[in-house]
Amino acid sequence: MMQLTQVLQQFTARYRNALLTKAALLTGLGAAIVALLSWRLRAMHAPSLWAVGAPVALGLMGAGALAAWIARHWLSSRETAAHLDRTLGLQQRLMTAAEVGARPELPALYEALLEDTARRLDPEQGHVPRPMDRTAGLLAVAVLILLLWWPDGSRLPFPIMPKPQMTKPTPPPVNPPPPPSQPPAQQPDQSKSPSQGGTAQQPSSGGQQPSSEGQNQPSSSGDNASSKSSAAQSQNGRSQDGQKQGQPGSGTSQAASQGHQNPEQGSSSSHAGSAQRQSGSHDQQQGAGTSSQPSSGAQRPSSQQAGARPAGQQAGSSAQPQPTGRPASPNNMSSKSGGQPQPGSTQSPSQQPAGTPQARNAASSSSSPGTGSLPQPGQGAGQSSSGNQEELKADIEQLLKEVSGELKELQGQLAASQDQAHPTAGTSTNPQLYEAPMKLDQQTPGAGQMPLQLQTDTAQTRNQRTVGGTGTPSRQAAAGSPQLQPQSVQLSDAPQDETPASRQPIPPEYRSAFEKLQQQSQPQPAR
Amino acid sequence: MGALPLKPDAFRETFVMFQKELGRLIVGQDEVVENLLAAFFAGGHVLLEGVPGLGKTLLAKSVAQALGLSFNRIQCTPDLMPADILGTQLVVDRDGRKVFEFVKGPVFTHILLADEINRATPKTQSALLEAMGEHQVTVAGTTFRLEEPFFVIATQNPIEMEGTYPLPEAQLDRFLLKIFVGYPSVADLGRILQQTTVAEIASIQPVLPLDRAPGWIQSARRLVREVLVATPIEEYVVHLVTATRPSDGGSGDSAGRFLRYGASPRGAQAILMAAKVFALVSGRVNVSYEDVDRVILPALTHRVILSFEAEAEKRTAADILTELTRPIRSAVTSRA
Repeated sequence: MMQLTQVLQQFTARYRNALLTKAALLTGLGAAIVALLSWRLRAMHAPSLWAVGAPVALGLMGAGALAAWIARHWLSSRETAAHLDRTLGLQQRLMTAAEVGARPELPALYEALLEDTARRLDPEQGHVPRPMDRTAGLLAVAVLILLLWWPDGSRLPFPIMPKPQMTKPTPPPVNPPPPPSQPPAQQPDQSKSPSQGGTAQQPSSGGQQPSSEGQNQPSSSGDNASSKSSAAQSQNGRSQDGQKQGQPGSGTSQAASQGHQNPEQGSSSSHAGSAQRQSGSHDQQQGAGTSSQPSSGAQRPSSQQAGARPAGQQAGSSAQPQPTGRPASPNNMSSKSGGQPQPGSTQSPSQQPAGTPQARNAASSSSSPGTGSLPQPGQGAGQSSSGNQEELKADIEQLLKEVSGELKELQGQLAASQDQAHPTAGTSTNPQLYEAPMKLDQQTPGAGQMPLQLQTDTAQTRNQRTVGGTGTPSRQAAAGSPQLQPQSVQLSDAPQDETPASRQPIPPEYRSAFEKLQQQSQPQPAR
Repeated sequence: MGALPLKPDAFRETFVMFQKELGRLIVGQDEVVENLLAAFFAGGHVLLEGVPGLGKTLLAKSVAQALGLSFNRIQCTPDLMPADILGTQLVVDRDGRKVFEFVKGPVFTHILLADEINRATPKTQSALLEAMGEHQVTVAGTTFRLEEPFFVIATQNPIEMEGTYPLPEAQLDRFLLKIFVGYPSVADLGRILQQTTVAEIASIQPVLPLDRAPGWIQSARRLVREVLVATPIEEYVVHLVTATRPSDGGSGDSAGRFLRYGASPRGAQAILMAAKVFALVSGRVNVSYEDVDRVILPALTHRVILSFEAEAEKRTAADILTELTRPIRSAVTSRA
């Protein structure tokens, strides 16, 4: 009896533990889902009624469902015995023993029942369900995955409105070929700059490679921001976006260096800027308050200038970037907004004039149509993420306006062309239907030539053309052609307007009848 | 806690010995033999139904021989009177005085075979009611107890209905089980030919000593009643029986359409008693759902009365009962 009671108690405890474990896991999963929903609604700027009410309602529903589930699966002692009978194939031995054992007077066969049950229960005890069964394990894995995937701060685990798709449709301007005067030392640096993002903040990197000094700083800022963003995004599962943001470091440095070397192509570098605009603006948001801020903006022109200098000058400037770059962060902010450097910045004099054209180049490239503002990688390093989001939102709205304007214009043209009624061919009486013929100027040299001169028009032919063409006929052709003599004309008194009937073709078999009718309809001349 | 009249294992072993002994002569009817023995140890009576020539009478005689009990046979005919079964008062000369003396009829035996019981008139059939139900006979105001164990085996032919009198419901209800005797298989038929067409025909030997047999059987019947039944099992039986009632309406349209009357409480008793025997035979001292399922049809098929619609659609009681009890059984199986 004691053994049977212990078995029942043990099984009941284990079953209830398993049930409670599942319930706890379900509660955790439900709470995570509710929190995720609340967070998403808040990130989407949903109304407060929805942002609060929907998660609360969902949580209440989940709690009710969980309570119902527990109540349904909660086993009493009798149900425990029945469940164990079914699980272990005891054919209601435990159920009967548990019930009969509770009676005040035990029947004669009770001892035999206990003995039989205990004998069959011993080898079967291994089949008692574990507290952590398969379903509970799956739930635990789900909760763990959700917790690992949980985003940090205010970053979205996946974009609500994917920014690359919003900016990609804007056609970038035609990229002119690179100037032939570009120094060859820039090429390896451009290809190297993305990979140098992680080491760009080290001063030794600039000194070791003077030619890449001009790119180290922008790429360091860009890569720094992008590396931060990609690090954060890799946590959020945005590896693709992180790869896209890894590009801007090189793009920024390339654009900056090109803009410095050839100021006339300041806007032409927007093709790289367009690629970096997505990430650059993104980096402005993401690089907030980081130490990589000094390397952006005003510092970049000086470093780019150093990169454009001969090697002897680059060595001197390469030692400066880090100390001079750090105070330049306010200047970067202003250059981003206004495109002009701050004269009161703590930049060195040698860097200040170099930074100005760069900032102007950046401003000019940002004002180029269809490209938006050229973001400076890591330029918005000191801004808060909320402000960056608003900035990004404004940028996106601007792009949307541009795109929508073009689209509206195209739609208007299409509607105008569709709404225009096409007259029947040959029935239009509009004198302005065609433009006036273009008169060839006889006085100007080369006026006899066709607007588009073909070689066949001037080639020698065996037979002279008597007539044809739109040019002046040859003398022979002019002589052989009939000459029109001026004649005196007089307007006819008869009406020239055609009656509709006259335009009707009359079949031959009806012609006689029609003539009779016409004669009858005409008034008889007075005799 | 009282003393056990018999060890459960001893009962099971003896039961198996009965089966083997009967199986030597009754070929291919193992289930019939098992049900018949179960009804016997449950304290009930059985009604064997089958076409002629299937060994129903032989089975009844063999059971009596195997059990070592007294055996009487009544060949029921339309002119059979109740006194021919129960006995009658005869005027006898006792010391010069004419007195009435009761002469016991064939009912006073341990095992009574009422062969082709449906050929007897209802009056004669009703003569067995008291004997089957109360194990006593009342003649001319005098009640006579029947010797225990008393066991009635009745047979009837389902195809020869002319000149027959279907058993009244009260009579049918007193049979614990109604056992259908079917055709043997081809292999079993070959064995039957080999055993019955040779010079030496096998005979049934008593399993128990003749002097101890009645006492042992009584102990076995008490043991059967000691078998434990849990409350869910009893509820299951109650649900099964009440599902056959047309007025309940809880079992769907089948009961209302095809049944005029459902099973009586005696049907539930029959189910549980037979299930207890099968529990002991299975080596348990408690009744399980499987034991109940095993005896549903033998215990209820003769306790329900089919409606005209069921007869018109040629539905059998077994089909209807299977249809009625299926949802209850599936619900219990999924729950327990």
